[in-house]
Amino acid sequence: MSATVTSIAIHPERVASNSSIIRWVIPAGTLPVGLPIGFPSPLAQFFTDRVLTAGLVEDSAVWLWIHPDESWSTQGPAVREALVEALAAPDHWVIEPCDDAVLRHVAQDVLAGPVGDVIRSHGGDAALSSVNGNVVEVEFSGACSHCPAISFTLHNRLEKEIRARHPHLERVVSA
Amino acid sequence: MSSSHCEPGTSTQITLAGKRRFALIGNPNSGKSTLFNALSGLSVKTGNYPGVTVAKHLGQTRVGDSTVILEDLPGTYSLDAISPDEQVVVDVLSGVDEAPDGIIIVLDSTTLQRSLGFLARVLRHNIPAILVLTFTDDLQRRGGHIDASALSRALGIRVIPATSGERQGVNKIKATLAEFGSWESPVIAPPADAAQLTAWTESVLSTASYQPPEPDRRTAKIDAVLLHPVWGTLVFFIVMFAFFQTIFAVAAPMQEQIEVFFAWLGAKADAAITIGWLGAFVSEALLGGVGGVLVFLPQIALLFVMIAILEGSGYMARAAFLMDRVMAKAGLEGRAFVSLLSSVACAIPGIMATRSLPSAKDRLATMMAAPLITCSARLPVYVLLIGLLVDPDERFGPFNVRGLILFGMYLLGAVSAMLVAAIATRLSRRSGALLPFYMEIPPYQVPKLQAVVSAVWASAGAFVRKVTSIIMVTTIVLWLLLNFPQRSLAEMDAAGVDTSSETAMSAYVLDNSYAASVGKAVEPVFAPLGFDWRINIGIVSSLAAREVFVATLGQVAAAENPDEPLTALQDMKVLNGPDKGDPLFSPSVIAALLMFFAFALQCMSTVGVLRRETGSWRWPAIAFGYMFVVAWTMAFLAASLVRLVT
Amino acid sequence: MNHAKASLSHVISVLSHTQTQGRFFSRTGRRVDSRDTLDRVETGRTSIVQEIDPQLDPTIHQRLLDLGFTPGTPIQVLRAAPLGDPRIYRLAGYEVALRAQQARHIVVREDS
Ligand SMILES: Nc1nc2c(ncn2[C@@H]2O[C@H](COP(=O)(O)OP(=O)(O)OP(=O)(O)O)[C@@H](O)[C@H]2O)c(=O)[nH]1
Ligand SMILES: [Mg+2]
Repeated sequence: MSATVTSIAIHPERVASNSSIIRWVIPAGTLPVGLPIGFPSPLAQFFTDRVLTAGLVEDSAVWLWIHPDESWSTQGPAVREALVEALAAPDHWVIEPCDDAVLRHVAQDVLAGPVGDVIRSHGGDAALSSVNGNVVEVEFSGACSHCPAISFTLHNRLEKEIRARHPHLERVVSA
Repeated sequence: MSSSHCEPGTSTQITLAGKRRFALIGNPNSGKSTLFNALSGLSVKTGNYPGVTVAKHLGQTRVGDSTVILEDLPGTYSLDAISPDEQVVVDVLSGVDEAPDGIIIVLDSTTLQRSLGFLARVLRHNIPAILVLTFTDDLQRRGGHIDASALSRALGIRVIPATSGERQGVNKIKATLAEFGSWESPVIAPPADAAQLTAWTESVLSTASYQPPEPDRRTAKIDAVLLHPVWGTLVFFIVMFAFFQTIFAVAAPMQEQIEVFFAWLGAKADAAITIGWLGAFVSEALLGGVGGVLVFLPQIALLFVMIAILEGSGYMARAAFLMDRVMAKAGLEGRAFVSLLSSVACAIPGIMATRSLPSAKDRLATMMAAPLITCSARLPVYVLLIGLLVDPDERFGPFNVRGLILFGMYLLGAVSAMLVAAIATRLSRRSGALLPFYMEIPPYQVPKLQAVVSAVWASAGAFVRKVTSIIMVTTIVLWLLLNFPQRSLAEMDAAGVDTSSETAMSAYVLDNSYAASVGKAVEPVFAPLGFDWRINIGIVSSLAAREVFVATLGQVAAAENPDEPLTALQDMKVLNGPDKGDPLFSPSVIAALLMFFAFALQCMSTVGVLRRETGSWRWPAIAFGYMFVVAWTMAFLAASLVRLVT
Repeated sequence: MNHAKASLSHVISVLSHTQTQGRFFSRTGRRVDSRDTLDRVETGRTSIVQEIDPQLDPTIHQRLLDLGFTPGTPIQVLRAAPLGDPRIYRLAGYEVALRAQQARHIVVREDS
C-alpha cells in the first residue's frame, strides 16, 4: 500500500442541485476541460456496468453522475480508487472540449453555493439565464435587483468565483 | 484547573434520560475542555499541555428550548488506543459506552495538517458530526489562514470557527446543536488507506486555502532560554527557590491577618458565651483547631497560583521533555513526570493523570511514587513545624531559613518519589520494552488571568470546604475524645490533683481522656521517635487528612494559651520519662515529624483512589505499608541525627 | 479496559521482537542499512519522511502516522534535551518531542 506514496490529491464534494452528482476536486490542470467520452480502464468499467452514467471535467474537478439505482456511499470508495488511477494517466482520457456545457454547470454550482447564499440571505435571488460563448447571463431578482451597491459587489464576486473555477470566463452580465 | 482539590470524581448531578448527548472529541490540547466550560458554564480543568483531561466529564447546556448533555472527553491523536484515557474515547465512538447522538469534533486550526487524518477516522464511524476550529486567533497571529466555508464543503460537515473567550463562536455552536436533525454528513466517508488519506487531506486543505501558521517566534525565543541545557535548569531552580521564599515572605503576613481575625473572634465568643463547656468548645475546637488550619489559606492559594501558571503557560510539556532522560533512568518516561508534578497540588489528580501513560507498568510505578510528592495538604503541617523550629528572621546569607527548609522538603519529596519509581519499575522488569514516548510541545500561552483566578478560587474554595467538612468533623470528634470522660472534683481529689488550679484540673482530664488512651496505646510504636501521646493522637487523627494534625496541635495549644498558639506549642513540656520538663517540640522531635509526614501515606482519599485506579486493595495496602515503614525509619534516623549534633 | 490490555501486551511482544532483530545496526553499532533515519538527522536540518519502518508494530506505526509522520512530510529537528535525547521536531505545523528509539523507525530522505 505504502508503495503509492504520492497518491493524486482528490476529495469529493456535493453538488447542491443534484444528489446523484459528485464533484471530485482534483489538482488544477490535470485534465483538459470538456466532456469526457472515453475513460482509462478501471474507471471505464463503471460506465460499462452503468454504475456511472456521465462525466464532466472543469479546471480543477471531475463531475461524475451515478445511476439513480446506485448510491455514492456504497460505490464511492471504489470509484475513488479507479479515479485516482485514471488521473495518473491523463493521456488515456478522451475529452471533447465543450466550454458552454462546462461553464453552465460551473455557474449553476457557484450560484447554488456561498455567493448565492449571500444573495438569498438578502432577500434576493439569482438564476442562470444563459451561457453564450464565454459570457454568463444571470438574472437577479428580489431585493438585490434594486440595490446598485449590492448588485455591484455581488456581481464582482460572482464573476471572480466563476473565473476561479473556469479561467476562460469572459464576463458575467445581468439579464 | 483542579476544582477537585483532593476530592476525586466531583460530578454534578445530571439527569440523562431523554436528552440529546453530544461528545467533544479531538486531539489533546485542542481546547475541548475550554469549549466545554464555555458551553456548560462548568469549570473542569484546562491547561496548556496534552493530557489534562483523563476521564469523561458531563455537563449540560440549553440550546433553543431544550437541554442537551455535553461530554468532555480526553484528547487523543489516534483511535488505536494505547492508554486508558484514549480508550475512553474509543469506547464512546464504538458504542461500548453508550454512543452519543452527535459528535463535536474540536481541532486546533494551527495543526490541521496533522489532525485531519484523525478527523477522517472519526468521520468513518458514521455518527453525525460537526467540526469546531479553535485557536483561530493563534492562526491569524502567526500569519496562517483558512476558509471555513470552503472547508465545510470539502468535508461535507458543518464547520464553526470558535476562539476561546469569544461569545460569538459559542452561540453559533449552540444554534448548530439546536439544528441537530439537519446536520449534513459526508457524501463518501474519507479513505482509510494511509496514502489515500494523505492525498485526501492535501486536497481538502488546499481547497480550503489553508495556509499553515509560521512557527511561533515568541515560543522559539522563550524556549531558547528555558530549554537550554544550562540556562533552562538554572532558571527552573531559581524560580522554584524564589517561590518557596515567597511562601514565607508574602503569605506569612497575610496569615497573621487571619490569625488576628480569629483572635478577635475568640474574644467576642468568650464574651458572648457563658456556658463553660461551650465556650471551651468554640475557642479550642473551632477557633484553635479548625481556625488553626484555615489560617494557611494564603499559602495554599499561592501554591495554586504557581501551579496554574505552570499548567497554563505550556511549561508542563517542556518539563516532561527536559525530565524524560532522568525519568528513563527510573525506567519511566517524561509523561510520568507530569503526573508527579501534578501531585504537588494533590496526589489524587497526580494518580489520575497516570491514565495517559501507555504502559501499565509505568502507571503502577508512578502511582506508588506520586503520594511522596509534597502535596498541598502537607504544606500547613510543614509550615507549622518549620515555624516551631526556626525563628522567622533567621537567615542563611540572603535567604530566609524557613524558606530554605521548605524547599528542602519539596526536594526530598521529589527525590524520594523518583527513587521509589525506579525501584518499582526494577521490581516489575519482566516486560522490558518501552512504549513510544512522544509529547506535543504547544506554543506558550500567557496564562489567562481568568483561568488562574478561577483555578485559585476553586482550590481555595475546595480547601475551605475540606476544612469545614472532614477536618471540622474530625476535630470535633477529637475535642470530645480529649475532654471526656469528665471527672468529678471528688475523683480528682482522690487522685491527688490540686483542685484549686484550673490548669492542673484540665491537664488531668486531658491526660485521662479517651483520646489519651488511644495516644498511649500506640505509644510503643512512636516512643522511639520521641513522640508522646499528644503527638500520637495528632498523627492518628491525621489519617483523615494531614491538616488535622495542625488542627489537633492547635486545639491542644488553644486549651493552654488561646492568644499565642505558637508560643503555647513551644512551651509544651514532656510530661514524663527521663526528659520530663524539657520542651516537647525539641529539634529532634520536629525533625522526626517532618520526616514522618514526608513519607507516611496519611491520606485515606489517596488510598481510596489507588484502590479505584488499580482495581484491587493490594496496591493501596502495599503503598500504605511501605510508606509507613520508610516514614518511621526516616523519622528515627532524623531524630537520632539531630540528637547527635545538638 | 480488557481490550486495551490485550492490545497492550500485543504491542509489547511485537515491539521487543522488532527490537531484537537489530535491523538497522550491526553488532559494532554501525549502520548496515543505507537509508537515513530521523534520529540521525543533525539538529537544525530538515528532512522528508520516506516511510515508517514497515516491520514496526502496527499500533505504533499507526501512532506515528497519526502524529503526522506521513510519507512526504518535511521534518525539522529543532533542539535536543540536555542529554541529547529526546529531541523536539517541527512538522505539520506543530512541535513534538520524540525519543531516538522511535525516531529510529522513521526513514527519511534529504530535503531537496
Ligand atoms: N489562543 C487560544 N488558546 C486556547 C483556545 N482554546 C483553548 N485554548 C488554550 O489551550 C489550552 C488547552 O485547552 P484545553 O481546553 O485544556 O484543551 P483540551 O482539548 O481539553 O486538552 P486535553 O484535555 O489535554 O485533551 C489552554 O491553555 C486553553 O486556555 C483558543 O481558541 N485560542
Ligand atoms: Mg481537556
